[in-house]
Amino acid sequence: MEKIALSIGEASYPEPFSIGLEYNPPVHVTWNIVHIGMQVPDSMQVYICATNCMRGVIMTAYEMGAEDRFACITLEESDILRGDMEKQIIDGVSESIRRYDKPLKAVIVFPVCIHKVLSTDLNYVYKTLRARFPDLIFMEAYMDPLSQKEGLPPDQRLRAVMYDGVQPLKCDGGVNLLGSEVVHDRYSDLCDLIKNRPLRQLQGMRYSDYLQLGASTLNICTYSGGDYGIQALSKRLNQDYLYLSSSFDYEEIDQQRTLLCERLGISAPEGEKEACEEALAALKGLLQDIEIVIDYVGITRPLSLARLLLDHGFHVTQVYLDTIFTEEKKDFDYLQAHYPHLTLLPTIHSHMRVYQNKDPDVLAIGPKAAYFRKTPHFVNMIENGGLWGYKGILGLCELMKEAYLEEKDPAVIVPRKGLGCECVL
Amino acid sequence: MNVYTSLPVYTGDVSGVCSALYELGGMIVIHDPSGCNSTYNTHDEIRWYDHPSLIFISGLKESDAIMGNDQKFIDDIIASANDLQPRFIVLVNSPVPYINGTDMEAICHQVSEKTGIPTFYVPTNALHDYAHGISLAFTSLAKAFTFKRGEKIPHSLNILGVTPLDYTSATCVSSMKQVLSAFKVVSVWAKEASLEELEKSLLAQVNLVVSSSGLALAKYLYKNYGMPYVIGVPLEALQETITTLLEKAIATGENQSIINSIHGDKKVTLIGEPILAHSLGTVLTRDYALDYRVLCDLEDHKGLLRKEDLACHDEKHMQAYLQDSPYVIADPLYRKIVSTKLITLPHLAMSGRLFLKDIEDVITMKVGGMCDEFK
Repeated sequence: MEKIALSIGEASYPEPFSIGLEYNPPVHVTWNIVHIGMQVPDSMQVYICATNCMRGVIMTAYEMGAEDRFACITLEESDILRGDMEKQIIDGVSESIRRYDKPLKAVIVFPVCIHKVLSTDLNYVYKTLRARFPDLIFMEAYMDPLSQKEGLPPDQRLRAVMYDGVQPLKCDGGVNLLGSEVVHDRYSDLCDLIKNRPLRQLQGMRYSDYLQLGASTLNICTYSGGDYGIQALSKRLNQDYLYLSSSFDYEEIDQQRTLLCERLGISAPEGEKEACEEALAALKGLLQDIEIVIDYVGITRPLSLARLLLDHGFHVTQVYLDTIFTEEKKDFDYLQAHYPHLTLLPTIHSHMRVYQNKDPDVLAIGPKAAYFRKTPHFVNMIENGGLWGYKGILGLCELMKEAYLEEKDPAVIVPRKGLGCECVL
Repeated sequence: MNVYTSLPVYTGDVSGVCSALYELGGMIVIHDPSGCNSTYNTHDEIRWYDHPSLIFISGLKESDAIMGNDQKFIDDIIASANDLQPRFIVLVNSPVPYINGTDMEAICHQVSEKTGIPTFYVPTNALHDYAHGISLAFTSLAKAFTFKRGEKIPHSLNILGVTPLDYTSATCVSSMKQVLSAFKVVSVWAKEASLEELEKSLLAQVNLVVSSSGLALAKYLYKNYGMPYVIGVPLEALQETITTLLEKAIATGENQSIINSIHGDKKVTLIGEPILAHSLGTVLTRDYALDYRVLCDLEDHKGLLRKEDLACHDEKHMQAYLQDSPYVIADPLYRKIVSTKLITLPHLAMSGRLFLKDIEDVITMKVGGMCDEFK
């Protein structure tokens, strides 16, 4: 059988694994396009696709209690062959809007791979819909996973169009922190550094708050999956933009803090490096040599975190990732040189279906690592969970301690969709 | 084209195939870029976390789809199959390779030749519902089989059309066997059954079709091997009725059905899988003098509906049909189109895991308890 676990010393950048057939582990805590789109206030989503594809998105809407903001247009063979797909979309979306009985400002339309293959004239579709419903904003999303390996994945495209309702407003000096599905608060340096300005995050917004995003001067994104969309927003609204990666390296954190403070026109305060060192030492004293495993779903910079923990004497053994992100290149090189035995494991490789390594004495950081190791000790988190900077390291120490001391059942928790989102299960 | 604003769609055909073949030791490969596997294992597959099954997607890329690069697909299947050594390989299609006309049969041939593992294609395209997918899976499997031949086992049967999508409770199969204890159950297509058991299906005397998903296979076995079938669910409350029908089918070689010719009535409408609906309705008629009618929004209902029943996908039409029915028995998600009394009967293929905790063993469920309202 093909060797599945690689030591980082023998891994190549950026694709350490040769992934053919893909397995989907039962870990669904990340947000999908339905969850992400629902953040646009007073909006509805309309999907036009095959039944089997529709099932996943409509059930997502039901599980988050948002089915009232969702419409399906299902396709049959005859619809594909008829040659009037544009008319079908226009008629279906129009009917969906007519049946909608809530305040409505925006319609997020999701054509799919079928429309791409059929060369459906979506420009005509949107032009017609906009003429028919001039008071509504039509957001041109796509559910076309066919292109995700060679183009823009559907979630990244959505993170670009979901701000189409925002227009430039009189500047109030505010800062938008966008592009991710987690909220930054007490575990993020960003909230401290921006405390004297309006800080706008998307979660739980009313439509008036959403429009107010146009009054900010600066957009910040901390998640690579949101970078394209927030850059596009910044360009359209002529707003300043910063990508501040969620690093766990003191030097990189300092550089990014300085960069932000320059844009904010303030002097950079001293970071809480000493507090971090104390917290890490205390945590190490508690965990001793317990095995620690990390995944890329929970931590956006898993190699950066592995580096921090290994440098502080923690027993990190495995990192679960399918690719190595560009922003992790330095960490990858460092780990190759200093910790060549650190193991890398994929999450979607077909062999992971039969990979079994059950061990309750492991501390997992991230839901996929928790699933693969079947451990009740895990930090359940996505997209770094709002951790950023020194406060992020302090927060992570607290979360790891909590995970070590308290057990939870991954079988109940990690199959749930959209961590942090409304869930009716 | 159909617009849904009040109801979800049923589980799709691709998921139906996976559900049908889940426990048989094969490797199922969905030729799809992404999503099919996630949708299936999140909402429609309750075994995924605890009971591994080799179900994968190909991870089809745009350039490969456009340029017709099937070689990567073939190589990837062979690589995984050589390592994981499944009992058989099944290829399942999705919209883009379906539209492109990818020659899945030829790919099966190549894979089988290179691996020595039986490989067959189940012709889905993701445009149909789960029952249609299960039907295709079972008939494709039957056609690919070399069935064991031999003397018929006296008083024996196969149960056709059992997956967790319709029979979710962990006790359903054992409950069916309990109700059918006068018979030897040779195989259950396909839950708590092995491939070896399924291969012995021809040794049984009769097939019992417990969902529309099993009907195509029953017809195939009738046409090709002369095995009669009975349509009906062996509910505890129907033990005698089902036993009589099975014995009659064995004795005469003629097909039998629980679906009677008694005119339906609008007082009670059952929505959902038609064979289960008719079986429950039969109990209502017999024990409570309540005639019933069936509203079916699954595709494969030919021969399973009477003239009073309705086959319909359009939720506005369904809503109008239900208006004059004082009682409706259906999945809780139908609440939005039911303006009269709804008696809930959660159905995994409709509401997924939303009401999983409330799903009972329908075989032993007290149908009368559901109908206290009518007394």
